[in-house]
Amino acid sequence: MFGAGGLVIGLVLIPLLSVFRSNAAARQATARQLIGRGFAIFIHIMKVLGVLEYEIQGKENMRDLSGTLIIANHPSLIDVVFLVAFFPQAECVVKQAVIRNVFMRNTVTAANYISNSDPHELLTVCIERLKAGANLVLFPEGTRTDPGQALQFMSGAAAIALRADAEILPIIIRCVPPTLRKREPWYHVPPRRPRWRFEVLRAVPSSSLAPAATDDRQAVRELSKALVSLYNDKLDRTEV
Amino acid sequence: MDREALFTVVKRVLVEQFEVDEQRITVDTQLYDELDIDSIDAVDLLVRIKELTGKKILPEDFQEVRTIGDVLNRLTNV
Repeated sequence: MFGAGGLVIGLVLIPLLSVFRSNAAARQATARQLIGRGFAIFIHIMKVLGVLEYEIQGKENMRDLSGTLIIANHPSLIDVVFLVAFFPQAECVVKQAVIRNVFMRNTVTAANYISNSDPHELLTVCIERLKAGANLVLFPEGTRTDPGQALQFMSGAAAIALRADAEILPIIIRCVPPTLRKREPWYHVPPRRPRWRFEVLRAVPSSSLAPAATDDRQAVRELSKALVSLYNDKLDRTEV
Repeated sequence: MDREALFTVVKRVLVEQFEVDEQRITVDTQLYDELDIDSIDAVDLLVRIKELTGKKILPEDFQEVRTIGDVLNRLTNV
């Protein structure tokens, strides 16, 4: 309830404010700042109300990023809310459905987020913006983690990182007890207050994670595999 | 360009760029399940086909492509 309310307010107010910036770059920065602030306030309210808790490990690894691909696993519906609050100026990929959504259209357009409607275009724009020095947030799973399935990454994240020659900043998200999972109704309240833990690893050059590869295609697969095993190792060690 | 010519182009790209054994390529072959083509390979494949033939698959059709025959159908519809 509060979550939905908070989101609607943020997403309806933001476009009104961003109208006052005429320059596209300035509008993008302002819109992203407002979205980031809105999400941070939402998280703060949820925390104050005792609905959720969160902690960040490795906060120092989040500073001074440039041209970095920020990846995370995707256990819950609101992971992106945290990540946008943490990295307000980062590039995000937005579903076509969100761009069409009348409540969100103005906001995501002003923020100049990347559309996922055309796969080739998506790939090209992500690589371009990383090369231009922007940071990009991606969930390599492509969708929320399927609780009953082994972790699977789309090869797109690895391809983008390698082709942009970007550094990768892996974030491991744990939510205990699990809540807002895939196929779980948002009103399904967990037995106790959920706690999100964000483990931020150090950024590493993408090429260092796929050293054995001989060509681009193999490198993408090696990197994707390396990332999946990194996450599997990390997540197995938790209480989840 | 007719369907047969397109099939030849698709086959050539699969063999040359994706190291697929030519014997395994038929219109019924499943791209993802049988040829070990992943989502990025599929994007690269379609980009290459567009370069060679000028024909493009619409993004909204892209999701539904499963077999080589599907690729040919979408390409000939455009």
